[in-house]
Amino acid sequence: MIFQIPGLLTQVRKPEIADLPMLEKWLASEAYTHNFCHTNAAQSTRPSSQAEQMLQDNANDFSNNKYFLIEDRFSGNAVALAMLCKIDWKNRHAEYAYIIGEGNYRAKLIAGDMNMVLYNHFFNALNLNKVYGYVVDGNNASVRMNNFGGSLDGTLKAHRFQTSDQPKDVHVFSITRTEFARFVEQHKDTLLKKHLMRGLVQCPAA
Amino acid sequence: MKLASQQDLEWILQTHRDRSKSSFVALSTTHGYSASELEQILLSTHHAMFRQTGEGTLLLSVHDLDPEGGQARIQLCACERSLAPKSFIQVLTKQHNLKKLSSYVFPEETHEQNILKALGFSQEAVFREHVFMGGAFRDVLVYSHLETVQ
Repeated sequence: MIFQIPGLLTQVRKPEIADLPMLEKWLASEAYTHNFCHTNAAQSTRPSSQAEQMLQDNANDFSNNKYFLIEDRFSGNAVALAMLCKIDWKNRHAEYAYIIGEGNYRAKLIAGDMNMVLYNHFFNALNLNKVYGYVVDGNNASVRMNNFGGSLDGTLKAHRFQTSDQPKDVHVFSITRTEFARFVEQHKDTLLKKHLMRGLVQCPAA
Repeated sequence: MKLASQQDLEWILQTHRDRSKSSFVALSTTHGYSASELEQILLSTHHAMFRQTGEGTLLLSVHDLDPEGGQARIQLCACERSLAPKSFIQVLTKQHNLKKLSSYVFPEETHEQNILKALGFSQEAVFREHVFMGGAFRDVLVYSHLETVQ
């Protein structure tokens, strides 16, 4: 069976070999190399090697890293890459990050829909208890998005040294299974009404 | 305070035998260490045992060493009389050109937190529900130390 997760505006699938040139372009972009403080972004390997490693990790059932490609549901265009890394199956948490590779999709509602659908997959399919992510100080769009249902766990001072002479602070955000359930409950009649009606999002069991 | 020798190992293991639920172990291994694994780990390059004056002991391990990013994480297992291993930390940061050290501890581990504070660390974040232990998820405190803040 082909892996595919439907959303309202998006659909999620695994990256394929044919997607490699596009992934390389996204991973080499300034939006990724300058704004990310993520396991993969910290690696000094070339974007082409990173992209190939992503496909290999996805093919391995016991990998602790999983990658998802997000498409615009209506046009079929690939617009974003989501990364779930350092999955800790015992402690049931993982590091989450995404990049919207196509610039003209950044100001749209794609990220919100994508996050809801992926959180639903993380908590209801993978049975995780928490996903957390790092946001470099100044990336206000990501700060706003990560406050959406989640919490700020703290700010790591001068934490990112890789691409800048001046180290930057990094904010740590996370959303737990309980918080996601609370978020779904709070927005079941408004923001998530269509998601729930179509079975795209479910409230995770306690 | 001195680095412990191999002859001190048994005494140190005895001292820390009941610490299997400490952050030193819980954040490093899924099942805890066997005695031989622990011996092997403690004698490796990136770990240090200190047998200190006044019956104090300290286990220190270095994880996620990233010289390119200038960072590393240390884990401590301390007791009431443990002293801060300042000279070891200075050597570690200088040797690998580290700009930042961090450490994860459980909220109730006051001995470890006191050592970290004495080393110049301060608390930066709380990783909520980060470790599953004893049937429940537990918070982890993140302490960090910037090399410029001495």
